[in-house]
Parts: sequence; C-alpha cells; structure tokens
Amino acid sequence: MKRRFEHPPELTTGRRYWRSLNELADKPEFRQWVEREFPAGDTLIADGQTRRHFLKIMGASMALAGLGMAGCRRPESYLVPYTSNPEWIIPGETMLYSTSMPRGNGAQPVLATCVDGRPIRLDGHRDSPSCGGGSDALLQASVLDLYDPERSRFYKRRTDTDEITVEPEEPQGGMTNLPRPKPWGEIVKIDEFYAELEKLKRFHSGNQGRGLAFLTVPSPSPTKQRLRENLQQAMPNAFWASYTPVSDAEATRAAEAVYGQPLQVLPDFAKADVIVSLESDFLGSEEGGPEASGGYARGRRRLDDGEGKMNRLYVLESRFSVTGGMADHRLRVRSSDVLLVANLLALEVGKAVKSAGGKLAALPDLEKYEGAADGKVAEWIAPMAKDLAAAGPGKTLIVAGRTQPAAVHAIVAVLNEALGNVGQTIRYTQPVTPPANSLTELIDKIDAGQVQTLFVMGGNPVFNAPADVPVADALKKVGKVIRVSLYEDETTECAHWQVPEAHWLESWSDGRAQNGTYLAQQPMILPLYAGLSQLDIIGMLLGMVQIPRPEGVPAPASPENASVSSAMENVLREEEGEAAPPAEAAANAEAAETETGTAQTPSGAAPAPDAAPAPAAPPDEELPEINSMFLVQDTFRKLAKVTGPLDLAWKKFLHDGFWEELTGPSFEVSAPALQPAAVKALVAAQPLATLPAGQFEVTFYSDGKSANGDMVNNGWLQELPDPMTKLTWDNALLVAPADIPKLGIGPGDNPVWEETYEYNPRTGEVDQKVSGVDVITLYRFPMVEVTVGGRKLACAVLEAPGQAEGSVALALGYGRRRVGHVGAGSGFNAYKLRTAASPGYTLGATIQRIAPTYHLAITQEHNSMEARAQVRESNLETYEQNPTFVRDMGIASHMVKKGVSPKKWGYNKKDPAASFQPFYNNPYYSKPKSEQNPLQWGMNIDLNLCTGCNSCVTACQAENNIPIVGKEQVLYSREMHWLRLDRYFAGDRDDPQMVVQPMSCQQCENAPCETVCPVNATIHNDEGLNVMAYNRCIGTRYCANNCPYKVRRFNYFDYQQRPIDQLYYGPLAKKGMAESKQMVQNPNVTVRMRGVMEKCTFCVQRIEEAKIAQLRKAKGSKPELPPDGAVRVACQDSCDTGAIAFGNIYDENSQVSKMNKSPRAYQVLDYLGVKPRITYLARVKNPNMAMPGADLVGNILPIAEHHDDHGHGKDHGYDKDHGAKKNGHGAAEHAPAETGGHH
Amino acid sequence: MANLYPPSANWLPLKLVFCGAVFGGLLVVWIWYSWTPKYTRVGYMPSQPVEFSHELHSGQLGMDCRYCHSFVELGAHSNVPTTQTCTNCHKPGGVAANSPKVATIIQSWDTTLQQVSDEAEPIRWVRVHKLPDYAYFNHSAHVNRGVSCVSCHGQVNEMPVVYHAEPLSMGWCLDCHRNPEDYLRPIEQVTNLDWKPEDEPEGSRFAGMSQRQIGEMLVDEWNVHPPVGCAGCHR
Repeated sequence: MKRRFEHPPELTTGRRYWRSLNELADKPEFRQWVEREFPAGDTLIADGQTRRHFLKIMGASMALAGLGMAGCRRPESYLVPYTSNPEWIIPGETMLYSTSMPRGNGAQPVLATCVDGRPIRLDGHRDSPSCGGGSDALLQASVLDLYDPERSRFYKRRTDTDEITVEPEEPQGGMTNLPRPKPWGEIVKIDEFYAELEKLKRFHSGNQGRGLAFLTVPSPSPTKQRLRENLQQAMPNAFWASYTPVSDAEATRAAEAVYGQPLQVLPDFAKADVIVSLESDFLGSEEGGPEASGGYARGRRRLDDGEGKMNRLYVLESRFSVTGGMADHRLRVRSSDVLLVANLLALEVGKAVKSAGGKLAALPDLEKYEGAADGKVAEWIAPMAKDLAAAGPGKTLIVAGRTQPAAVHAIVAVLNEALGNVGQTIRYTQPVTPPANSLTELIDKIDAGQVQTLFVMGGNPVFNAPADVPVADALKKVGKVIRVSLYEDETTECAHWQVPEAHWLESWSDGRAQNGTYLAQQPMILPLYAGLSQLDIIGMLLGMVQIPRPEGVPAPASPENASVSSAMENVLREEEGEAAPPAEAAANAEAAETETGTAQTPSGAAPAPDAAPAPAAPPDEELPEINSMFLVQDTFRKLAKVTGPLDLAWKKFLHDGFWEELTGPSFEVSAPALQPAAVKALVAAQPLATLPAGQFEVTFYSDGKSANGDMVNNGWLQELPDPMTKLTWDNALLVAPADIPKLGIGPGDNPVWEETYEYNPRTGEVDQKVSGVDVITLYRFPMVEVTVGGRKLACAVLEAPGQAEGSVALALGYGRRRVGHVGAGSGFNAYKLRTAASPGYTLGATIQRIAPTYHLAITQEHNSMEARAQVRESNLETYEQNPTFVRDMGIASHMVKKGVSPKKWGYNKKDPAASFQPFYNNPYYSKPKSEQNPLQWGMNIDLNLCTGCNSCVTACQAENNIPIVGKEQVLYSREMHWLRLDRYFAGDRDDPQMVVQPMSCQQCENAPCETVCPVNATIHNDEGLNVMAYNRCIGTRYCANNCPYKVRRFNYFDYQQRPIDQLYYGPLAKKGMAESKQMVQNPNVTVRMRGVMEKCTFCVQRIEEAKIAQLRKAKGSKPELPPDGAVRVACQDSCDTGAIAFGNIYDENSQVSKMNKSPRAYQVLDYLGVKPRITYLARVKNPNMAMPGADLVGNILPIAEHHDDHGHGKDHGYDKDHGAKKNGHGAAEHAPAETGGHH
Repeated sequence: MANLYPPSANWLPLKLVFCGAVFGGLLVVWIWYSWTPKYTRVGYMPSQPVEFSHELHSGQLGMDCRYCHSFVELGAHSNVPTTQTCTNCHKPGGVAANSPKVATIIQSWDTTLQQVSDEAEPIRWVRVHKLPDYAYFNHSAHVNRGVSCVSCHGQVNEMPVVYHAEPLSMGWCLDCHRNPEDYLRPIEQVTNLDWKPEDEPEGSRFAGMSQRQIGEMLVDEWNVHPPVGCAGCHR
C-alpha cells in the first residue's frame, strides 16, 4: 500500500517566510500550481503533443532504426597525438594556469583549468595576494563567451547595402523566431585588414597622429598604458578616449575634489565592525568584487572564530539588492534621497563623535538638515550614528554606491575621515585605470571634423552610451571607423571594418588588481578566430609589433618617411571617393583635417579593393616584435626592475600570476589633507532632489549577469535567476508593491493567472487561445511605458518587495538589437532613458500602463518546498542566550504523529537528526562504523555567509556540463540547474528581510528517490553518495516525484544537441553541438541526453580523481585517504565568502565535521528521516537594539511565538512554558506526554 | 456448404505458432549473441596508417610499453606516442630509415632544425579500444596497482597488428573488480606481458605461489578495494 507521508501542518498565521508575493497571498491558483507534481507545462502531453503525433513520431523512428542498421557498426574514430609533445602536457589531464581577467575596477586574478590546451573552467586565484580566490557569475561564465559560436569570427568590411537595423516597434517577448538583424558586411581576408592597418600606420605616423582617435573601455593594463604613452610620443596628436557605462568615475571625481588628486577608494571590509552602505551593492554586483565579499565574510566569521564581535551592516538603498539582503538593518530610501541621508548622517555623526567636528566642517550647511527628514529616516540616523561612534575610530566603514553622484561620495569620504577610518578601513590607491578623455570630448572632436580614423576597441558605445550622447551619428561622420570587438554588435553597424577581438583568454596582457597588485594575463589558447588583441593593434600601429605580411609581398624597401606619408594620404583620399584637391597635394595635416570634416557619408568611405602599392619600410629602425607577449615582457621588466635575462623571473611571474614586490601596498597612497573648499563646492553644487507627486525616480543598476550588455549572449548568464527577483532571460521594471496600483495595474493583473495558452511547436509561439485539452497556465506580466524627459521605453513590470516607494529600477544591458540567438529579444534597453548628466538615477519619470502583456520567466516558485522552516535565523542576542536555537525551530521540534508511539517520534534536542524514525533505513548504515567505508562525504553551508551572489550556480553549470534550456522551457519549470538558490523573503510584503539558501541534492542516506527507481538507475554507494547511472535511466521521473527537496532535473529535450529555438523539431532535424561549444564541456562528466534524470553528484568526478591520486601515490602500499581539502567541489571553489565546506564527515578533524558540530547546524526537512548529507548553519543577524524594528531582525519566526502558533495543548502535549524564554531546555522537557495534551 | 479449407488447415495455427516460436527464438539467440561486446568488439583489427608492429618492438626487441605510452602511469589516458618519439630511432640515417613502413615518420623530420617539423601532420591512428562515453576508465589507477596491460589489451607483444582482445564490457570489468586477486601481479611485472606466476624465480617472495595466492596476498597488502558502485566508473 502506498504510504503517504503527512507533513505537519504549516504555519498559517502570523509572520512567516515566503518566496513570492503569490505565496504570501496564498491565492488558490498558487496552491494549485505548487501542488502539481510537475508544475506548469512540465509534462510532454501539455505541449500540444497529441497521442497521434507521438505515434507518428514513434513510427518514423522505428523506420529510421530499420534503415539505419548499417550504421550500427561502431564508427571509426581516431587517436591523433601531437607531433612533438608540448612541455608539461599530459593528454587528458587538467592543468592549472594563472592569469587575470580585465574588469572595470581592476583585473581579477584567475586560475584557469585547461584540458588538452583548452580552458574549461575559471576560478578565482586562491594564492593571489589581492583576494582570497573568490569569483562571481561573470567570471565563471566568461569561458562560455570564448567558445560562443556567434562571436565575431571574420574580418569584415562594410558594404554599400549595410544599414543600421531599426529596432522593432513592439517588444518581442523574447520567445523564439525573432526577426534577426541582417548579416553585416562582407568577409575579407585577414591580409586585407593588415594591408589597411599598414596604410593607416604609415599615414598617421607621418602626420603625427593627426585625425587618429581611439575609443576603448578603461583598462587596468599597465602595458596598454605604456603603449598609450608611446603613442603620445610617436603620434602626439592622437586622441585617446574611454567610456564604460558603469564605473567608479563618480567616486574618483569625489576623491579628486576631497584630496586634490584622483584616487581610488579601497575599502577593507574585513577590519570594519560597523559598515554603512549608501546604496552600494558591494556584495552583489561587480562593484565590490571578491575582495569586498571576502572581507565582509571575514567580519561575519567572527561569530564563530571568536576574534572580536561579528560585524554589523546597515544598508540604505532603493532597490532590494543582495547587499540589502545581507544587511542587519535595511532602510528603503529613494536613490535621490541618499544625498539627504548622507548629510543627515554627517550631522548626527558630528553630534555623536566629539572629534569629528573639525573634519565635518568641510561640509556646507549641515545644520540646515536638522529635522529635514521625517518618518523612518529620522528614526534611523541618530541610533546608527551612535553605533558608528560606539565602534570607535578606525573600526567603521561607510561606502557609497556607483549610482550615487560625486557629492554623496565626497560626503562619505569626509565622514570616513571624521570617523578615523582613513588608513584603517579605507585606503586609497592610485587609480588602476588611468584617466582618459571622455566620450563627449571625443564626440566634440568628431563634430569639429578632427577625427579621420577611429578605432573603437571593446565596449559597445552605440548601444550603451547615454541617450543624449549621439554616438551613432558621430561615428557616421568619421572617415574610417575600425571596430575591434568580441561580437558584431550595434557599434559594428556604424563601422567600416569589423575586426574580431581576441578574448582575454586568448591574448597576452597584464593588469592591476583592485588593490594595485600587478597580475599576469597569459593566453590559455591561441585565438580561435584569428582575433587580434587591443595590444596587438596598438602595437602594430606603433610599429612595435610586426604586421604580418601576406605571402608573396616583397619585404619592405628602404625608408622614405615624408614622401611615403604624403603618397599614402593621396591613396587614402582616393579610396574615400573624394578627389584630393591639387592644392593640398603637399598633404599637410590641416588638409587632412578639413577633408575629414567634409567626409560625411560613410557609404562613400567604403574602401576600394586593395590597390595599395607594396608597403614601404617601417619608419623606426628597431625591428618590431612578432607578438604582444614581448610588449608585456618589457613592461614587466621595467616594473619589476629585472636586470639581465628575464627568463626565470618571467616564468615565476607567469607561474604565480603576480609579482611579489608589486603587490597591493606598493600602490597605496596616503591620503593628503582634506580640501574643504573643494568639498564645499562639490556638495553645494548638488541640490537636494524632490520628487513631484505622481512621478517616479528610475534607478539604473548592473544586475551582475549581463555585464551591462557585454555578456547578454551568454546562455549561462541569461538563464541564471537574478538573486532577488529570480528572473531569467529578461530584465523588468522593479516596482514597489505599494506603487503597483498607481500604475493602473489592478490586483488581478500582476501577474495574469487566468489566461491560458497553447504552445504551438510549429511556429514556436505561445498563442493566446484556449484549447480544450492542452492548457498551460503561464505568467503574463503587465507592461508600462516609462517616459523620462521625452524619452520613452516600454517594459514589463515586476512587483518587487523591498523596493522603495516612488522609485523604480531597471537593470542595464538588456534589449540589445544586434546580438546572437541567445541574447536576442531579452529584456528592455534601459540605456534609452539614461542621460549623461544622471547616469545613476533619474527623476521625473512618468509611467503609464499599456495594453500588451509580457512573459517573464521567473523561477522563484519552481520546486517549492513550501514553508517548513527550511531557513532558520535569529539574532545575536538570542544566539548568545540560546546557542542551539535552531533546534527549537521548525515544525520538527514539535512534531508528534498521532497514533505513533512517542518513543518513535519524540524529538531529541541533543541529537535532532536521530529523532526521527524513517520509513526506510539504508541497511548499509546499520553496520558498525568499522565495516563502513571510512570516506563519507558531506557538505556544510553557512547561511550566515551565503549572500546569494550566484557564482556557485554558474560554477556548477560549468563543471557539470549543465545545459541551458531557453526562456520557454524555464517558463515550464524545466530549468536544469543542479544547484538553485532559494530566496526567502521574511515578514512584511513591502519591506521584507531576505534569506538565501543554496539547495542541491542532499545526498540523503535514506534517499526516497532510490527506493522508487524501477531500474536502479539511482542508487547509494558506500561513500554516502546518491549516484546516478545515466545510461540506466529510462526517464520515469518517479525519483523527482519522490524527492522532498525537488532537486532532480529531467532532460525533457536534447538540450545539449539542439539549439534552444529548435527543441521541438522532429527526429529528422539536424542535431549536434557546435564544435566550439564542445570545447567547453568538461571531459570528465557525461554529457546527458534526452530522457535522462540528473542531479548534483557532489562533483563525483573530483572525488574519484582525488582517490585515484592517492592510489597513484600509494603504488605497492596501502593508500591513504584523500586528506581534508583534497576534494573541493565546484560550488565551494567558486564561493568568495567561503560559505561552503565539503569533506569527509567520518573524519573528526575535517572542516565539514567541525562545522557540522556548530550549535547552529540543522538539516532541512530533517523530520522526514531521510538523513540528508548537507547540513546548514542558521543565519545569525546582528541588529542594533536601539534601532527601530530591531526586534524583528532575524526574528521573523521568534521561537516562543512560533510555539504559540502551533496550538499548544490541542494536538500535542508540551509544557506550556518551554521555548526560548527558558533557555537550554532539554530533551526531557520536550518529550511529549503519552496521550495527547495534558492541560 | 463446401468446406473452404481442407482439414489440414486445422493444423495451420499450430504450425504458425511453432514456426513463430522457432524463428522468434532464433532471432532472440541471434540478437543475444551478435549484439554483445564479445561479438561486436573482440577481434576488431583496423589497419593503421603506419604499419607499426607491436610484435617486433615490444615482443622481439623487448621495448617497455612505457617507452611510447609514457603517461600511462600518470594520467587517465594512455597516450599514443608523438611523432617525436618515433623519430628517436627512425630519423633519416637512423634505424630502418629507408623502409617504406616508416616513410611517414621520416618525412616529418626537419633536417635543418633536427626535430620534427612544425608543419608535419600528426599521424591519425585508428582507435581500437573505445569505452562508451559514460564510462570513465583511468589507466594510472590500474597500472600503479598491479593490473597488467595484458589483462585488458591481451598479448599485445605478440600482435603484428593490434586488435581488440577482450570485450571490455561492464560485466567483464566487474569480473575483475569483484575478484581482483585473480589478476593482480607484482608492480614491477605490470608491463611484462609474458609474466606467469610460475616464472617467479627462486628467492622471490612470490616463488612457488599460484596466481590466486599472489593476488590474495597483494589485495591484503595494498588494501585493494576496487569500486563496484556506479560512481567508480560512471560520472
């Protein structure tokens, strides 16, 4: 007989944890949704596949099988060895290399895992002095960009028919079959580009670089900086500009005002006891990097390691960010009100800290803010300031976010001075990205007709420039635009040449880490598509790198500088289709300038087929280098002051990835004296904003997975659920729940539940029509039109708990119009509303509801385990009084099953795990320990450290060959992530707290999935792993059905073999993975096929590798067990806060055993008796009890109240006084009375 | 009404059933046998681009397996030698330099640089032993622990052309994983494909012992517990 486990009743009253607003509201539709075993369109039949259709397909496959008998013989395959073995390479074995990834706020040290000469995984460099080995989703996913088959692969030249694609009027919904932009340009041979480059080089070195300009993204590479200096010498008139949409520019501008010189702020989160973030998302986005997360985690770890008190984090922000989720106190303020808050904070700090007055005098008119705020802000600031004062000088840290203007950063800088933090928790370094001209300056120069040749290298300015900076128009005025980029993008459409850029994993360079540490960047693979790096191009223009010559072209003749350049100028003119006026044949520089000024038509600028004469010799006597490695070597030689042969030092530098003498401290600058006048001027220039009634403030943010638009063609990132909204494949306008009615959206509209859709596999569309049988309920979200200063943008609305009222937020980087298949049609282009004057946020937006609706693929309700105290948290006070508070939490602690002997179901507080008698016991574990395998794997996840940054999810995807499934499939709950991050909101729907819980296969000892598999495809092994044999799986999905944690994933389609828009094609359709995509697969993990169940394996490939390494070492002796730390799982490797521990739980001294012994340890759904191998440590918040609402922080399920909720004395008999009020109550007290209640 | 069918038709259904059973049974037997790895794999002997004879090199000349398969003790894969390895002997003016069998090797030699030319094409050896994609075999875990090459690859030192000697099926793997004592041998004899227990000289600690005795001794001494769970090979 089927036994159905009766879960204890959920809490129905009072405060509780919830994953989505629907769950909070507990609508009947929602209950229906979660109670289905496989929600939404999770079964094939619902896809409009009828039985007849199925039989037809079956028939066809049978016929095929008959025809294909001849193919049954194994295909011949080949073993192709090297001709001579490269040093160190062992075929098939992984190699680790040090390199670094260039990023906006400095290079990030990277350890790349390579197999047979191709990188397959990237991780933070654990040994690097700049950070402790953390990574984030962007770094993890960057390796997929390298192998993206839709990268720019060819050298291309503009043709006359190329035009700028017009954006579709209506947003497309991002489903499938979107109109694709026309292919751009004609493919040319690489030699033609070299010839072009040769001409340009000759021309511009002859005219001192007049008319030559570069537009790049800020780069942390010292070599590039050195080349820029060389360029300045060789071609003094060349113009160098850089632009990136999101940067620390405002902070640097503030430092320039405060200290009189451009400095980069380097916060040290580890040392701070009290941290105040003014809308800085230092844990979530690129803003802080692994240094910030690691530092914050060290401050959080003090809870356990006893080195002082755990840090406390205050966050004031408009959008609920990951950092806000980790905050002990979070206040919703509009971005535009942060300036006011900063001033108020300064005022209160002045009152609380006696010594602060002198420094704070630099801020203008602080007194006028007395009483300027009301409500929560007023209640907040004073106790917060007192807390800052109480922490003592140099023990606090205030940081401001990138969305904030320089004035806020200046106030923060002064505050940090006043609190004595400078030199302690705040240090300053030279900016790692050297200053350059701005984009607007470049455009002015173009408008003045002074740019003839423009190299646009990296970035994507046509897409991501502010809406009021007409980049596309400006580029049309330039005679020759050479675009060097990873992808053909919007900027390519305005260019004359498209040059495939070498990915950072394909090129030589170097970089400065955030704290200044000098890092190596070495190629992991030769350029896949013959791309050139930016260093190559600049080096070639400067004659420092040799321009390769096509075969058959004679070697350079003798130099004849001046005449050559004038001749070249004529050639250029002829090619541009404008006859050179004879008067200017002398070719002076002015002539060139006037001429470009008139060259308005880009079509006329299309160069004719190569008519260039044989190139002449380079002007410099020195023989140019053959590749850019030598440029990096020269920089290294100078910086590291290496004299004599470079060999050993260079090898050590590449091996380590950094150079010891060039680490962080050597770049630090002691902050000069404050410049009160400049601060006053800067702060006074920024008026306080007032938001008119009926209008909104729009905040533009980076969501940590689009790289502001550069990485939207990356499937891993697109399908990654946003940490807070759990939104995949799109961005959406985040609106506070209280603001929703103001947009004209009714209670039934968000989302629309009632509508039903049928998926039409032939058109690939979800039709809005009700069909009798095959009905799928999908979320449809209302759309609005946002108008700011006459600029309009239609976008979908997502109700976002925790969003400040009056403020709406939109992530940058989505809504690209020229992008590959993956990024096509995803989201809405926030850049359209962004202006140069206010890049962080803008006021005065009006929002109007429009008729269309939009599908948003949100995973937050998928795989719901419903509220059964999966996440547990408390505050420091409770923890200190009752360290084992977790054991008083959860339904389990009070569970008595009616009619079952209490001895069987009694809750033993000393050993909660042993309290529950399961239906099934794994016989293996009833053997004495000496007969069991001494290796028993287990994992521990510290919720106090997990921020929900998503890097583990991407790392798992990279390590385990997890496919992406596309937006439609996510809508049907078919995402394949083995590891998901469950985000729970707690408390109030407008202003909730947040807890994140990583959830993957729990490797239950008594696994319910194993007992139901009819073919033994999932079984237990003697190391405690719940293993999957994919080739046995027949796809019944019983196991997923029986999994209480909902962590099993089924391959509904051949996600690996088919592009996501062709999943529904028939069996005869083309299959197969792009060759370049095959290269990113981990060769040690099976690539699963359709119809197979899969799930987390605890990275069994790494476990086996570690064990085999011990065998190899042992040879003819007894092998030792792998030492603790020898097996690191992928999620653990990627975690920059170190929240995940993995190891042998039978080894008393392993890290995981030690953590499991923590009083905060608990297991999810432990009362089922499945004995999960993952243990969680409860989150402990550190509220300041003087703050308003402090009693609720981390206390959403207060222990005592929780008990009361359960109806004492009604159906189970506990002593009424037990609970948190009475500390340390033991098992005896907890033992339920024999017969029901006794009072 | 006349009988449409003669009386013998009464037997027709029975005959049909009988024939069906016989043919069906034969079909089952045919599939049973001919779809097994033993039938499909054993004996597979593709012709190689270079006529390399293991019999000559390993058998007659006595070269150790690891001279060419140099990473077998270090990695999961046992590598196929690079052209450079061949040219250690077979370069112009070297061993058998004029033999047409080594012409491909000789041609890839760059006489000016005295090394294998950068432009040389690698030799595309036809793969003989191939496990399914979802099975992961690690050479180093076996050859370092007393499993001889001969156990899986057969008497390669007697093969002029390499062929598939053993089925390499899962059941076949498990035979050894369940009873390793039947196959283990002293570490130093792993690449000696002709080793027999009775060859152990006087004075050796294995002298006079049978395979099983040696194997049991080694299993005990080395703590050999070959994995028999799925995750040992399937990841």
